[in-house]
Amino acid sequence: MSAATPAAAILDEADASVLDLVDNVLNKGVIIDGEIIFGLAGVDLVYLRLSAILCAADRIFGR
Amino acid sequence: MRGLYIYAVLDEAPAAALGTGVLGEPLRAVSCGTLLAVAGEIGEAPAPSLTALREHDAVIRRLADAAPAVLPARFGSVVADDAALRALILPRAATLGERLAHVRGRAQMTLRAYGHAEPTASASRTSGAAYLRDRRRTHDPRHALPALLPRLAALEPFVLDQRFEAHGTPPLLATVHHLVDRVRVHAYLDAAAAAKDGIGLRVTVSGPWAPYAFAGELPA
Repeated sequence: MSAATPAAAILDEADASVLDLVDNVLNKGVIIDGEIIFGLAGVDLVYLRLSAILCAADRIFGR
Repeated sequence: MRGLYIYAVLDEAPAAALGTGVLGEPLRAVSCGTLLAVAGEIGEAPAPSLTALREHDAVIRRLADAAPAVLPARFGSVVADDAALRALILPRAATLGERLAHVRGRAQMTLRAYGHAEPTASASRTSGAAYLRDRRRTHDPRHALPALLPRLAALEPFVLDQRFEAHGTPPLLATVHHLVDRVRVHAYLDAAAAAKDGIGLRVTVSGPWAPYAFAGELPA
């Protein structure tokens, strides 16, 4: 596995468990009411990490 | 904003204290016909910090330890009050009851497959046939990630349901969620430890989790 990509660089053990937690709690589970409410202050690196891992890393980090 | 933050839907009262929620609020069970929802009254929308996400999962774990069937709600699921909650749950009770039956006594195990990319789900969507090919690849491990098939075969005796998703994001290539009887989780982990993967593939296993990936959408 290449360590050259940003996504590879953030996939250590701690991040892997963060990924699982975030994927389950923010991405899965039944949405009651069809609407999800977050406080905006605090959408932070946790969510960005998930986006970085599950989307093309280059789009997030640039080249 | 004020509201009722929802953690999970169950079909029997948990055999333990509910505790507190993501904002430290006391939790209570709201009866919705034959079902019940565990909820807490909040005065502000919770920020999705790592601490809050862990707290949300901790509530759901506590419930899953105290009741055999739990449908986790997504973080941030808020309704106005008990009446609004019942109005949502009651008309859907039959379907939610079936989902609870499906996850009763079961837990989620999650596999993540890492490796180098192969050109599977391509960007070409110029035709309906190409779109269908991409869809099939995304959700069908036989097309999306055949290197994972030996491991999936080794785990198959333990798997009651499966969700497979290919990601176009190397090194994370795919995710698989398995629904497994709780009493077989250790045997599943043993089989996973012994399983072999195709060349160039590294697979991690996590769990048991509450059955987040098997809760589904709120039925129509």
